[in-house]
Amino acid sequence: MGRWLLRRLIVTLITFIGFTVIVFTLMRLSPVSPVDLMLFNLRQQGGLSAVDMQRIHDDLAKQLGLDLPIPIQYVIWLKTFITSGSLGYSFNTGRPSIDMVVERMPPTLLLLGSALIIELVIGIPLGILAALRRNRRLDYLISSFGLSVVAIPSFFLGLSAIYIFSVKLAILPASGMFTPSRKSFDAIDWLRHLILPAFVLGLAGVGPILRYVRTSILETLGKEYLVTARAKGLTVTATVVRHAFPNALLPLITYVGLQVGLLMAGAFITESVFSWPGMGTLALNAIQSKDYPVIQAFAVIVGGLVLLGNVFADLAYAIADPRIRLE
Amino acid sequence: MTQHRSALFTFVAIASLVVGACTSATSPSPAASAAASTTPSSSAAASPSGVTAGAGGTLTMGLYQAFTSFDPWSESGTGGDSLSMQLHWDQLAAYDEKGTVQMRLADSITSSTDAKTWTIKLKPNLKWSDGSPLTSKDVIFSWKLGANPKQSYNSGLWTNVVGMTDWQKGPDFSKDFTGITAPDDQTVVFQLVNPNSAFESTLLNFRNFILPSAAILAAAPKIYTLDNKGVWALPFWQAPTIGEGPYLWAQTQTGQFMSYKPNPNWRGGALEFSSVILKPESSQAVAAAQLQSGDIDLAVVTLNDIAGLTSAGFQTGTALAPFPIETDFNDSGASRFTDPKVRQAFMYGCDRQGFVNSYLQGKGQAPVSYFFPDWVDKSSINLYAFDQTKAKSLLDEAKFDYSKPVVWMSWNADAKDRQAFLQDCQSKMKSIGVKIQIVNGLDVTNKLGQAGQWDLQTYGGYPINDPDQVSQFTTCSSLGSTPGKDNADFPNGHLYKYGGSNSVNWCNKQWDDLLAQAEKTTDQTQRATLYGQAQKIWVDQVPMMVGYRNVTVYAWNSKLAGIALYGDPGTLDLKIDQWTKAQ
Repeated sequence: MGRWLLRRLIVTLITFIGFTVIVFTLMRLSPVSPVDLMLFNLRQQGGLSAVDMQRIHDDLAKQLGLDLPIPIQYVIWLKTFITSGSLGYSFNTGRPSIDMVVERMPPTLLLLGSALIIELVIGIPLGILAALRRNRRLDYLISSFGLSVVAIPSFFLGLSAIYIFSVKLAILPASGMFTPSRKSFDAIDWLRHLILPAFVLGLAGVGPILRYVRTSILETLGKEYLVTARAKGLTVTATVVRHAFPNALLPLITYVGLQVGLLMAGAFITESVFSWPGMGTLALNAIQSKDYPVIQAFAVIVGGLVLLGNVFADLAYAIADPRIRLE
Repeated sequence: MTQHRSALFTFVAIASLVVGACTSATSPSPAASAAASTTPSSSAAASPSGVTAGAGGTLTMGLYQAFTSFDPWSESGTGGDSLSMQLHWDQLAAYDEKGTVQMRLADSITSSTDAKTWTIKLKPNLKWSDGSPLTSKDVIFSWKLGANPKQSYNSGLWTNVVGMTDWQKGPDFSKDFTGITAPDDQTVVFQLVNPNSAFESTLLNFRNFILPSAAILAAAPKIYTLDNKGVWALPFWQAPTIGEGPYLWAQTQTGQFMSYKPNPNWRGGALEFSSVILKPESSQAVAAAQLQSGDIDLAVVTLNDIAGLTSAGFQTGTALAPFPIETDFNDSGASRFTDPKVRQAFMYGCDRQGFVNSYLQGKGQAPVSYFFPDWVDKSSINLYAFDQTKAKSLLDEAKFDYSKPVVWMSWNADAKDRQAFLQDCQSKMKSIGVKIQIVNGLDVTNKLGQAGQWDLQTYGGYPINDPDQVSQFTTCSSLGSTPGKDNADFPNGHLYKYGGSNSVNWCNKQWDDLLAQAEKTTDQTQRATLYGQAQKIWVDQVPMMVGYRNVTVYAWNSKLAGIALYGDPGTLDLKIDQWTKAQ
């Protein structure tokens, strides 16, 4: 087990380094560097001579370390990361990029965690129901619902939710994490702000989960030991709850591990629609303004979390199912 | 048993995720709290002086671009920064929504007859929010930061000031200027090397906020020795302790909102709102939805939102953008655009007014040049009305090579209006045989995006308040100096020399002379005549296609009144002290 874990961690580390190389290089392959964007902003203000523009261009490129070849830039970045834990300073705010990303983690984790719970709480029972009513009207209805929530773009779903629940019914706030004018922490206010973004993000994952559970339950229900259990007089409910469901849950562990990355991708849109102050909104702004250090910090942290999530999922799967040989 | 363990593990993992997040979100550690939520020290709220906050309650505005810093000279310079700084800081004077100069901290800005001495008189009894006097020393201090080439990218604005070139060599940036002096606490005098009748427009650069010298020097005693990165990183710019604007920064909830409270020493008297909140908006569609849900009172929306929001009881209005959407013709040696007839053909061949009438619903404008101010006579100039026959005959006269496609670069393909304009031109020019290839300048997969590899490039142009500003990017002296390298797509080499603000590589001596003469005279009639002559050269030579001026669309809660709409949404709150909100 120990050797397996070590091997798994080494592979994860190599994957992680490869991932940072790709992110680092792709960003810098853009023909317009942050310096160009800054110069466009400055140019728009006017008043700068040709000499000034040239000087600013060179100074900025040098200051930001963008005048060096990309491999050298990467080595410097990696060395700084390993030796000092720094992921650079934001081009936009001058603040350490890691601080900017880390301070946005709690809202994102809250949103992702809530969305995951919503996915599981809605997806698992619906999956079981669909399996038990295989090829009947309820199965088709549930499957159609699952496909619909996957197919509707989150941006549209988010705006529709705002329109229905915030504009028309006026029962839930449309944006933010809490009401700015509140005097102290108010759990109800906070929960009210969480409901819409968590449901919009969570619903997108309900479809895959219910399909997963449905298929898994159907597969398990066909196993001989369950046929025997039924033949011995066990009720359908008892067969499903005690035997089929726990076994069908196993593949879900892997799915939940992968889901962190998928949810994070969804959070980009959901956070932006609901002005949720998480990492997704920060990353989206950073991408638009080519704030390389923040994009890198975001990629390193999220990439690291996703990779670790997968290691934990593998570990959990191995613990849960002794048939999986680790050595 | 193992199955139960797995289910339990999954549940515990998710529960930990949520509980951990909740705990962090609600009761952060002191360090995390400082980073995520910043509030000023208690001293900032001290010393009220009889000014009472009004009865308008809370005003919540959508922030169309993210806030980064209260540092006026940081290179980010987002719209969110402008809106925030205009609440907290103030300027000597500013252009109002009609483009006329509005005195703010200054009582007057006057020029000597030779346009070489400019005198600024401050309003009497100006105070910072903590009650300390705002004097000419603060003005000089602000200029020491703004003119420092190590700290400010706009330091080049002041090279015409006497002694500035030497001062900017440093190394001591704390020493006094020779060309900017303060004879008394209320007067600042600028001495110029060469006469500049438009110097007031430079003084009104939107970043020239007056900063509190004592408070900043107390927070950063070594500020004069720092470079721009060092200045930028000062915590003061995230949490300024005092200000002189109408509303003072009070709190930042990272990614959520910034709140402001009334300045007890605001020079304009009582203020309407007990607090002002700026909330970031990710898109105009989201802003429109949040406006309707009551989350915000005022936001930038789109033309298409007007009908729906009006019928829902909201007020809407538009303002002409201060800058045009401009297209550069590459006027370098090897280009097909060196012949003015080709450039004229594109002016005739693209239906600019038609685009304004249809896409911008008649609310924009299709000027032919950068001479926006009304005092430059435009009654007898060629307006380049859409005429495909004329366009075709001009191209034929110029022996235009129709075989090669024209590479037309757009630097903001996300701006739907620009994309629509380019596509409209593409289709119109196609009908007279000109093939246009539209390229997204930010497309990483397209090497044509690299500097110099374009025939035309489109972007948001310059905001022009005084025609003198046109000289910054059109004179021979503002040409770039670094030639590009040879390239397979362009065998004659990069067409574009970079490093200069004259990105079209257009150089016309007669034009330069006229602008130089106009800069030297303070006689407004003479200036109008000279710029009128320069305008004729522009219209004839067409160094750039001034395509159209877009509109900024605002929508607001019908309880709000007194809002002056600015074309630049970053300037919207400049007159916030005149806004009211019925309860």
